[in-house]
Parts: sequence; structure tokens; C-alpha cells
Amino acid sequence: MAEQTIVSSGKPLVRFESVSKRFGTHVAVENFTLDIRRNEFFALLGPSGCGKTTLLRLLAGFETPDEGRILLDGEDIGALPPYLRPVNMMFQSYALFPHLSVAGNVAFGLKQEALPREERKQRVAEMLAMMRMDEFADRKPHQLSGGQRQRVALARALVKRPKVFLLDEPLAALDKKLRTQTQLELRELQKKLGVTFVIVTHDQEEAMTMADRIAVMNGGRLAQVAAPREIYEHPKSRWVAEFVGDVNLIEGVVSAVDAQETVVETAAAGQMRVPQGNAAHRGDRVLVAIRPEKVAIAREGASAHGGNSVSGILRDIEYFGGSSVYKVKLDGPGSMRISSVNVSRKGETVASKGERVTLSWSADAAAVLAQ
Amino acid sequence: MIAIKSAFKTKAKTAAKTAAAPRLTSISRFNIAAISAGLAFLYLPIAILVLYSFNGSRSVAVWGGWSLRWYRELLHDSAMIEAAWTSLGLALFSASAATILGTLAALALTRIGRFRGRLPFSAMIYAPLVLPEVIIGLALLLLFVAVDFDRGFWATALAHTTLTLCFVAAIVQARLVDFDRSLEEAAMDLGCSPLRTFLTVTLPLIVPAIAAGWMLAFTLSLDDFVIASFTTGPGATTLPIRIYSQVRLGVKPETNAICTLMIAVVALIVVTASLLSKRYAMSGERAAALGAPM
Ligand SMILES: Nc1ncnc2c1ncn2[C@@H]1O[C@H](COP(=O)(O)OP(=O)(O)OP(=O)(O)O)[C@@H](O)[C@H]1O
Ligand SMILES: [Mg+2]
Repeated sequence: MAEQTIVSSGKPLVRFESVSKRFGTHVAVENFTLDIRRNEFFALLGPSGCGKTTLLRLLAGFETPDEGRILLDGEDIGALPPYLRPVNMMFQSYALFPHLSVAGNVAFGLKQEALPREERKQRVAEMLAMMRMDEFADRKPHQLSGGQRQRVALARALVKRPKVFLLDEPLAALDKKLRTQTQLELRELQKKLGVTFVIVTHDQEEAMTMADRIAVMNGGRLAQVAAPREIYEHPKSRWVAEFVGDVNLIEGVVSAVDAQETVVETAAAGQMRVPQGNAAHRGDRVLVAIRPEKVAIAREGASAHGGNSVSGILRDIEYFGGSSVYKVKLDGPGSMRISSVNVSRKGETVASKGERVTLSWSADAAAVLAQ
Repeated sequence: MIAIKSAFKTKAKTAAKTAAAPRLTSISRFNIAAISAGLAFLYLPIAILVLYSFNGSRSVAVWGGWSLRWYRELLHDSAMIEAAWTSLGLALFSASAATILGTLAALALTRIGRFRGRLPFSAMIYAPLVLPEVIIGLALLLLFVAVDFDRGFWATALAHTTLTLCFVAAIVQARLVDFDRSLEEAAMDLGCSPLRTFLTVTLPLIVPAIAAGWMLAFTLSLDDFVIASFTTGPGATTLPIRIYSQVRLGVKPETNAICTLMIAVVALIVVTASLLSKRYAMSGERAAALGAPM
């Protein structure tokens, strides 16, 4: 297998250049431009029907773009049929061949290459061992559990040593516990093999835990592409902020802008100071976005910390085990959700329903978004 | 018979809801009687034919003890043996031709998507399923006369291919319709050209249906009397025609023997075909279970 190399920021491995794909009148992918780097664990994230699978199938060669080009290693692969592309895919249904054994399934792809028998056998054995499937080599797919089938599907594609490995919702069929475990395993596998992984998911946590970079898609268009932390902490648009995680959005008008800060006048929380990020001008109508876990909640009168604070009435508490979410009706118009870790095992909460509370957050907790 | 059986089953079920257990057993006893009557209705004539083929007596109506005499005699009836070979050859040829054409038709109907004229094409393929055989036979006869094609073995072989093709197409198409297309895409993704994909993935998975189709075509051709009587000519007498012409001169015990042999061959093939299609149905279920999320 290829030596592990650091994600290079040089020439991209895959490049979508203004790619569009229509099905009849329905536009599945629209003017899509994206670079995927070598040895990267890349996630395509978006709601159902936003074109993630279509994008993957364009890359695998099962669909051809109506407009634009797809480059692999600098070469246009648009005219290449799927069986000539150095790209392999793991299907959501796994698509294991029911008439072949586990070993037969894994060897299938290598049989299509002119490889010496010995080498083929060795590579199959290696791959089965890596996936801990060697003892099941002679079983048929229907004699395996869901998790085992998934590993066979992985082995079958990876044994081909593709330049890009595509995974379409690989974990959707697994239960939550196995899914979390497999996420880690996939990540380790990717680092070990040094193959570029492109994974499709509509589960944002999954994308966050696994990917080096995430492309968030909306209605066939690219909404934002960045590292997970960047996507979460610095969303470029209201849509991304709302799609990835929970967020409080407060309407306001920019009253002052300097090198460090943007000052926003809001009806809900008065004057808010937000660090410079997305460009805004004086007089713009904007949204101030604050993640629920960045806000501290305390009974009114307790000392507030941070640069911004606002008061209101606690309306509701949702208990999630590790944390609770507090719904607060602000004195001004609107309300906010605050999430707080449950440190104590006793049933005590910060405040009880109906009590007056003060919310506070540091100046750099919020971000300005265009409305 | 099955219809009768299930009708009584439903009756038994509704009765079970209202009546006590004894009534239920009496109904199921009635049920058994009904099934026996149905079976007797269907198979008694055949059973008598089979029984009398082992009759030692020359007279058809008198039982003269067990004997294989008529089977031995059959070996010396060269006309009958020749007819048997003709029928076998016809069945082999037409079943194979119909299987190839029928499979191709099924592939075209399921794989090419919505091509122009797909609906009329599928309607036309399945027309012989419902058309009376007399009409097919007559139509083919007119065609062969019009193009001046000699009636005989090859004319009948073509006619049987026409007749049985639609059965093969129907069986294979049923299999292809619930075939998971992502299997074929996976094969292509792993480096198979479309042809190799067909040979290594599609074909092995539909081969039970193709085999079942071939066997059905084989028995249909073997059994056919009506169409063959239009299309065959001198020197190409099929077994059913030979038997019929013999019976017209009076039923000979020998006829019972040849009919028993035919029944045995057809029964064997039908049982094999139904086992095959059962196996395919099971593997289909498994494939579906594989695809479904847990
Ligand atoms: N073969 C096709 N014919 C017509 N429309 C299609 C076809 N494939 C996809 N579409 C449409 O294109 C859009 C994008 O589909 P796609 O499968 O890429 O969505 P997705 O992001 O993968 O969604 P999901 O998360 O539900 O799998 C959908 O609206 C879908 O209906
Ligand atoms: Mg999808």
C-alpha cells in the first residue's frame, strides 16, 4: 500500500469544474466546483435529495455531466466508462454478489486485472485479514451479519487500491453503537492505506467525526467547503449554520464596524459585539449567530461573565442525559436555546421553569451572518 | 383443485371463528374428501392409462395381470420410435432457440428502459400466451404456404419456437425485474465491461430462471398436437400425432405404454423446473434481505 503521506495542499486529486447534472427538468447538481485533495478524508454532507449520490455517481462514471468537467489527477475522466476509472465505490446496499463467497467477492475486482494468480490470492488474503474476515472467507453473503457484510463490501473495493474510494452512506444500515465504532475504524483505515476517501452522509456528526474537510450541499449547490471546526464555528451562511448543529439567530442592524469588531443593534438583546468575520457594512441588516453551548445561563443577579448579556424567563428544560437544553423567552422579542452540561448527578438545575435568568457569552462566541 | 382447496380453507377459517372445535374437524374431513375428489377427477384417467400400460392382456378392457409386454413391443414399433426421435429433436431445438430468443427479449424489455415501441413489443411477445393454438397454427400454416416453406420438421421447429418463446420471456423477465441493478453497477465499478458484467454477474443469477424456461418450452413442444398438425408434413410425424393416428384405428395397449413414458418424461421435467424456480425464489428473497437495511 502507498506510504502514508501528509495531506498535500498542492495539485488536487479530484476537481469538479462547474459540473451540472439534470434529470429531465430536475437539476440534481448545479454549477458545482470543488477540489478534493490527495489522501484526504472528504465528506459530502447535505439533506436528502440534495445531489450527494449523484455527485458520487458522476465521479464513479455511472452518470455523465451535462456541463463542466471532472478531473482526476489533472486528467478529464468524463469520457471514461466506470470500469476504466481508478475509482471504486462502496454501495449503500453493499451490492455483494450473492452467488460468490466472501473470498470470491473480494477477488472479483482483481480478476478483471491481469494479475498473476499468486499475487491475487495474496492480496485477497491480506485484505481479508485486515478486515478481520479471514475466518468467513468461504461463507456466502447471506450467511453474514450486517456489520460483516459491510466489511466485505469495504474489502472488495479497497483491494483494488483505488485512487479515490467512494462510500455512499456506508453506515446507514448499522445500529448506533456499531456505527460509532465503524466511524473510527474507517478513519484509521484511511490513514493506514493513504487512499483518498469521499464519503456521503446526511448525518452531520458522522461527517464531523470522520472528515478532514466537509462540503455542505444544498439543492445541488455547494454551500460551504471547509474543515469541520470551520464549518461549525464559522458558517458562511444562515443555511449552513442552521443545517450543521443547533444555533440561535438574532436579527439586527450593523451600527459600527472597526478592525476587530462589528457592533450590531438588536431588538432582542440590545447592542451586541461580534468579532470580525464575514464582511458586513454599517447599516446592513444581519443575523447574529450563537451556538447554544457557547452561552452561559444563571439566575438573574448572579454575576454574568463575558462581553454580552441578556435577560429573560426560563420557559422549558429538555433533559438529554449528558446535557440539558434550556429554552429562554427573552425580554425583547424572540427566544434562545442554551445547552449546558449536566455536571451534577443530583436533579438540581441552574434555574427552574418560570424563573428569571441572565444569559451571557463572550464576545468571540457569536458570528455575523447575512440575512 | 388448488382453488377448491383454498376456498374450503377460507370457509374453515370463518367457521373456526364461530363454531366449536368438533365442527372444525368435520369440516377439515370434508376438506380432505374434496381434495381427494379433485385429485381423482384430474388424475384417475391418467392412473388408468398408466395401469393398463402394464396390462398383460391384449384386450384394453380386461385385466390380464402385470406385464412389461407392451413396452417390449414398443421397441419393435419403428414408426413410433421414429416419431419419438422427431419429437425429441423438435423439443430440443425449439426449446433452445426459444430460450435464447426469449431471454434476449426479456433483457430488452427490462434493460433498455423506455425505448420507442416498448409497449407494443411487450404486448406482441406475450400474445401467443393467450391466442388459441388453432389460430397460431393456422397463421403459421398460411405463412409457410405464402413463403413456400416446406412443411415438416423445420417448419414445426420454427412454429414451436414461436409458441414457447413467450413463456421463456415471461419467466426470465420476472426474474430480471426484481434483480438488484446495483449488483451490475458494482461489477462495472470493479472493472468489468458490460459484456463481462453480463457473463459474470447477471447470467449466473438468472440462470435458474432460464433453465426453468427451457424446460417449460421443452415440455410444451413435446406435448403440442394442434400446431404440429398444421405445420408438419410427411416424414416428420411427431409423437402426439403418431399416437392420435394410431388411436383412430383403435386403442392398442402399446399406446398406453408410450403415453406412460411421455407422462414420466414431462413429469420429471416439470418437477425439476418447479424446484429450480423455487430455489431461485429463495435466493431472490435472500438477495432482498441482503439489500434491506437492518
Ligand atoms: N436517475 C434519476 N432520474 C431522475 N431523477 C433522479 C435520478 N437520480 C436522482 N434523481 C433526483 O436528483 C436529486 C438528487 O438525488 P440524489 O440521489 O443525488 O440525492 P441524495 O443527496 O443522495 O439524497 P439521499 O440523502 O436521500 O440519498 C433527487 O431529487 C432525485 O430525485
Ligand atoms: Mg443518496
